[in-house]
Amino acid sequence: MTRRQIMFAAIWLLIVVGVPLLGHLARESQSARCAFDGQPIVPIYRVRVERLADDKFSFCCLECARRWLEGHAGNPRVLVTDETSGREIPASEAIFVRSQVVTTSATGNRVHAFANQADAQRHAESSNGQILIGARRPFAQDTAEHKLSTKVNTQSTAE
Amino acid sequence: MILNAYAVLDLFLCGIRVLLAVALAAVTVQALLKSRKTRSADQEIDQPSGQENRGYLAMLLGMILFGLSLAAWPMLYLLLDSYIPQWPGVMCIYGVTQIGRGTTGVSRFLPGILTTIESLRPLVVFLAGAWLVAYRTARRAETDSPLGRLPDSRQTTFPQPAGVLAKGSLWLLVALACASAVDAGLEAAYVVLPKQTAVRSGGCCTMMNADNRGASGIFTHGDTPAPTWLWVSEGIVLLGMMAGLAAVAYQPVGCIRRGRLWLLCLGAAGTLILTSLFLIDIAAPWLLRLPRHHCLYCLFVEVPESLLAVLALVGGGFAVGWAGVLALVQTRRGWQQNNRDSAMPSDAESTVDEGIRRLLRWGLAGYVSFAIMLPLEMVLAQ
Repeated sequence: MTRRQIMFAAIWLLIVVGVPLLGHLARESQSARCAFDGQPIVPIYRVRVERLADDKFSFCCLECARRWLEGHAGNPRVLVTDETSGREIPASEAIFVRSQVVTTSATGNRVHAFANQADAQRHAESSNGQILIGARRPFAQDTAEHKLSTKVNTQSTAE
Repeated sequence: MILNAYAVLDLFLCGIRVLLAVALAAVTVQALLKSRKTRSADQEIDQPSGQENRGYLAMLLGMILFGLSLAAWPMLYLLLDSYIPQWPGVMCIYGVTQIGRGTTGVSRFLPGILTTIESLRPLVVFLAGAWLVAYRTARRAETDSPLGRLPDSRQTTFPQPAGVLAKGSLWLLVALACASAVDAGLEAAYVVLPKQTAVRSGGCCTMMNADNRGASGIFTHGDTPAPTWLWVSEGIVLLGMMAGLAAVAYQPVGCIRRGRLWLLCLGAAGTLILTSLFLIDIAAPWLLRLPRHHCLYCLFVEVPESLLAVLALVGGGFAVGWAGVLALVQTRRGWQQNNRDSAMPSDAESTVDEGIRRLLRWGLAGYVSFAIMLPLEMVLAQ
């Protein structure tokens, strides 16, 4: 091999190995993305699903979390973000409002989560929305199952 | 019509490409027709003939069209990317490609037009590359005119090998001009056709593919493991191609068997098809870290280095294809007649063989690059 060929091979190897490494490093520093559609997560709309202690997923909106849960078995714990304060609350304790305001354009999600009744009421009035109750609440079944399994686990532990 | 900076630039490019393609087709067909006629007796040998001038013009037009076709490829996706915010619910380029599906107006042609453009674009680049390769080899075989010496009944009973190559490259230019004209015309039609009123039917790739199945129909649910046969066959085909290319490209001069070359061309086409399935069903969800997401558009946007790996593979496949085109030109009647009685390979034959060998080496480099880059990216993304 001539010196020129060795040089050419070295540059080629550098590109072929270096580009994937650089790309990986660049992406590592990026902000969190939705586990369902890969979109960037806006903090006030974040939804987290915990199946096991080390099996946690973040989503960009309620709709993505709902669709992801449809394809995954288990009793997940769903945490939603209160849009007013930005803190996480269990989905079973949240008050959901369906309004005209779209949170994520890709999914068209219009359901909003709030920690207290007054904030939910205010949003419903200002954005032509309504508070969701009963079976119309998002994750109604999942959270009920989770509650039931938690209760059964607690009882069995007590016994 | 959605008017933005990309749409204007794209329309401008389309206009130029159509004009160039028509001019190229006219010049090339004229050159092909004239090459059959005898040169006039009073023509000066040392003066450039009209035929040679046509050759220069065709070469120039072909070069410009090649450059514009290359530029138009990413331009199309930049245009589609700029359309994403136009419709609520469209998340990536896949969503834009679905605009018009299920409608009744002229918008219903939009997805079909776009699919045709997406298929024609690689074909145009392949044809342009094939012409360039044939042209360069013709130059090497005989360098007294930009297209080699065209077949001329006054000079010899049988066409010269370089002349056969030159004529082959002219036919490739005709094909390039036709494909470019159709491609550019369709793209202009796509830009101009009304879109805003089109009803969206599943514009988001996540909602389309993730709920039901992968693009190739292999996956049914998110938790289904990747099919083993696809992993195995992709590995076998890639390794087979690399071994085959290394064996053929590094053979001694004058020993490339055409049967092996055709087999490699077939393998290259098969590898491209199989790899596209592999990318959609396995690599995209893996690299995006989204088990239900089988979208190549999202893959190339979110993991841009994967595009480099795919381009290396496509380049490798094209190089093998171009080697096949060179060999195809070599098997034409004029060439064979010229070399029938010769036991040793002629200079022109050696030149073509060397050209094929060089292309196969480039092809091997492309396949090896892909075989290193993609697995490395997948290991890093794990």
